[in-house]
Amino acid sequence: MRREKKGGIIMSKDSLIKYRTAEERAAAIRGMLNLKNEWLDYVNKREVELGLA
Amino acid sequence: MRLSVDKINQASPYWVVQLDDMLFRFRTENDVTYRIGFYKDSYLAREGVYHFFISNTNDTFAPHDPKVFSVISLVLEEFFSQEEPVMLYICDPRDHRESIRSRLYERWFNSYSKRDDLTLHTANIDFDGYIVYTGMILRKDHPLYNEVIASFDEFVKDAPSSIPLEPK
Repeated sequence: MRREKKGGIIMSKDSLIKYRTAEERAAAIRGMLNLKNEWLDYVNKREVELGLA
Repeated sequence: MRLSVDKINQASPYWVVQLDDMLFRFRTENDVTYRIGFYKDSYLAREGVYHFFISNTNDTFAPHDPKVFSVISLVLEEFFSQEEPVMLYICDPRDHRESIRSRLYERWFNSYSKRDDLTLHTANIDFDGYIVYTGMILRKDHPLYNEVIASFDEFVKDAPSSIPLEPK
């Protein structure tokens, strides 16, 4: 069951992701390691939107 | 979750500009611009977990400036003053600065005045011949404290070192 509060969904036990295999977990770790690039793209986009780029 | 730049700027040695709910920017006296913030995780949990990132102009080494650490500390403190915050970090070993990052988080944690309210839980993953430093910081009063820690431990255990870091 998802818990809600003002401002959005907050964590519940269902929020935690379970991986069935080591390969799935490895792919997730790889994804995490690439998150910074995703974040940098988002930062650049926000700076352009705000005219700060 | 929206962090308060006003609270940060009450004590920050540099003026911090808010770009989004959890994203900030500031420029130092050495004319280095930093972006700092939190980004929602989608690998450990669907809600409630955030990765902490910081980058400077061109993402390079900058002159040592203790005021930068002060700004980072204030942003982290503002994050951990929220309800149920969970911060995750994973240090990319591919640019060989992973141990520096890992030490930064530990240094902040050890210097934080309210660290007794928090847990720093770390793990090193042997992944494709690299050591990947990871860690999680959460409040001890998090309602799912045990579950989050267990989930993190499950996530980092037995990472297959034979699987390449870069998919072929």
